[in-house]
Amino acid sequence: MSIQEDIQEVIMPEFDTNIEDLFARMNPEPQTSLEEEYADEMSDIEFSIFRHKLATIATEGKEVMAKLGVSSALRSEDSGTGIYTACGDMSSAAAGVYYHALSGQLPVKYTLSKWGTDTSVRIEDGDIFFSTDPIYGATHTPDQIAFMPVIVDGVLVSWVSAVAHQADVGAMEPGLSAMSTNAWSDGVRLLPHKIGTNFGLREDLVQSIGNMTRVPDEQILDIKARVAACTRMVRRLKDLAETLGSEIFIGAVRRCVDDGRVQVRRRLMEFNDGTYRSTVFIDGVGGDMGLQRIHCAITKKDDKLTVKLEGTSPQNPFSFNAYASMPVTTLANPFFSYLLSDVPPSVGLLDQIEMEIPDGTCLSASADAAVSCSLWPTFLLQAAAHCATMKMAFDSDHRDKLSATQSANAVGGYGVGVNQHGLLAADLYVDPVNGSGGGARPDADGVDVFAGIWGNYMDTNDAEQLEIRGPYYKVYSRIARDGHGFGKFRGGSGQDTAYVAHKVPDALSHGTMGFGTKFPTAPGIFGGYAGNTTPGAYILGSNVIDLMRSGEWDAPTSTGDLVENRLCEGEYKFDYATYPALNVTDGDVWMMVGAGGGGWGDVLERSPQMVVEDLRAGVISDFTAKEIYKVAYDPESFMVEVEETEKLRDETREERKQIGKPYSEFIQEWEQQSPPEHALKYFGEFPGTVA
Amino acid sequence: MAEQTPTKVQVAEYLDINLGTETWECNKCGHGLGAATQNYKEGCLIRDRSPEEIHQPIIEGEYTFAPDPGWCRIVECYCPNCGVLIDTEYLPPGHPLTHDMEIDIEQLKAKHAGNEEK
Repeated sequence: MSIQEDIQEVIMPEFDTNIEDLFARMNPEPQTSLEEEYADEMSDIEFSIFRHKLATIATEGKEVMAKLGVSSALRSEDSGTGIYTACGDMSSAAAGVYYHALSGQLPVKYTLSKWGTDTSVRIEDGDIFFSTDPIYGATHTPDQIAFMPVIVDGVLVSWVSAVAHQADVGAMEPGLSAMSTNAWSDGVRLLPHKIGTNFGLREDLVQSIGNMTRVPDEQILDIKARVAACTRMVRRLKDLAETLGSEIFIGAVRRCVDDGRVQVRRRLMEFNDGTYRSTVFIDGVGGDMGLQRIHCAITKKDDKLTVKLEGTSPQNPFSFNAYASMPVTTLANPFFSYLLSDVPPSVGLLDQIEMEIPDGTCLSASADAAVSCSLWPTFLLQAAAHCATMKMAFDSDHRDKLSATQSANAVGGYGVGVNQHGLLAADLYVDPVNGSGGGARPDADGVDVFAGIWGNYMDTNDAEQLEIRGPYYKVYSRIARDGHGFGKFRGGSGQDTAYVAHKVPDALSHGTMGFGTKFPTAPGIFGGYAGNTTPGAYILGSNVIDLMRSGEWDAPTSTGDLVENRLCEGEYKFDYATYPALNVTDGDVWMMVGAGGGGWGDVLERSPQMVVEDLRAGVISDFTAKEIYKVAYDPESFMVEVEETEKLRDETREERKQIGKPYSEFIQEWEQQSPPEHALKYFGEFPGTVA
Repeated sequence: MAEQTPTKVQVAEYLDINLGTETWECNKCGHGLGAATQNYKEGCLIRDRSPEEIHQPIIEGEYTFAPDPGWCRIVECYCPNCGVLIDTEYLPPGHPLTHDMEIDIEQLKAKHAGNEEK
């Protein structure tokens, strides 16, 4: 099949694969002549129904991937599916993770441009394409993308994609490779290329991809799950296009982009013009600890946003870097899940955003940089952008859509090795990350065990499935105590959990990936405090299994309870949230405390009754109730002592006025301070300048 | 009845902008916090706190489950009159405070022209 001339005119001659220019291709392409001609063929009601059908089809694809996938990320719907115009612009998406669908534009556009007229490849009905290259939309090597054209009677009418994280991709470490130092140690990097024709996979190619990883069978099965999602969506879209007629279908798919843009403009016009800034800090770079700054200044003028990242720290020598094509996609969650939660998601959003990223930052890394953990700095950018955009939107009729930042940091883990059934297996323990706490809201607490900052609509692991697939089981799973930002409304707490290795045939390679050990990353808002910090923690040679067998095991109320009271024997170890892979065997325990969302408002305005209810539920400690919220209560009945509470709070307000210093006096003393030198190794100039 | 331009607009949980005087005011007590073209923090009382005062350490050592006070400080901004906690920032020691909200006053006035006082 040859690509229609109008598509060739738009996308083929100009596609620039220079990494610095790629993020410009995230924006919608100009309309093709056919898209323009058929843009208004449907009535508004017909179009609304059409758009809803696209959303339903994308959701069905995501569910297919979740049901057929093997890796945790697929099963927990830490994934995304997208539907695109014939030129590769996102028209609809199902999340999971919206940025997966947005970034899926790049491999589609790359394929159109590079292979559309290449007679050795070509694009045909039933072709199956696949990519794992972070430069072209994979975000980091584990985020693998399957994508397919939708072709009706020889006419290219649309594309679909299915993206999800793979547990192992053959990098220098299993799982995410935090220690990677260059692009060639990040694992399999496959350019967008064809892996199947006529709705069937090329088994030789799929087996070869599997062969590049530590766990070939899982890789192969998960490719098939992604492709099954795509083929389901292609089938549905072909039916729809055949019913409507190809031209009308093409016009309507494009209208999703243009109508989305109109709705985004309308919403932005409701917010106050101005510049809103936020600065957050990450405390590691992968193979080492050190502070890096992520800064964003969002200037809103009429219906346009300019996002400037000047002041963001330099590219680092490990893998906490991202390519410049990625940062803009991280705006998807604050907008699609919050400020535009009532607007169908489309790339029309990005047409209203201009992003200025200086060269050489950790968010604009060079092509040879390791980006295995690219998500970490981009999560921080998302936290900063979330905070800034919520302030932008406060004085509007959409205050009910706001929240403090949901958790951006957590300790997730992975295990790779031979399982109890003698099979090679790899998995992510996504519970503490997918089960992070939500941000506090203007009129309610954040949701406990909510979702990671990258996507609101995903689940934690199913414990039974994990235990079937790996030589370990869960020791406990709780809502993390004090694991959130305090405030008038508190952030949601993350999941606090631990695993013990059991029936390990040989050795299980276990490690973690995370950050936020020395510096929290989910800021509070309007006086609320930030979410909690989370170290790496494990116990070698514990007697937990023996205690369970003897019936003497009293499950801890929290990881804090376990480590503070040494509830089992063993060698207790504490580390940064990302610690290198280590071999674990029977009895070894690893604990992962999920992080919580930021708080909203002054702690002294929190309802004392809500404080004692949290205390009774074990979500906060006695220390927090008394010392942070200043609530007096009867420890037996949990009854609030109202007058004493009011007195304590009045005293605290007076104390603030006594201790607080006038701005100029404060700054004079403050500017004399600085962090220790070793904390600034990767920071760049301190304090330097920001936008 | 003719609609009037409001004199105050609430732009954050504890911050108003007085459109007449173009100044920041505390939303709880009305205390003035300086010109709205400047950072409202300049009109606040500021306090540097160790994060361990808020996030309780669980164990001793390098990794305590709490932020590291050498790397991270909590900077709190209070209304000088009523003591409400207007803003918190988590910053490395000595790092400049963020000018987080720089609102276009003229556009704000235009937007609220004709609205009744909230």
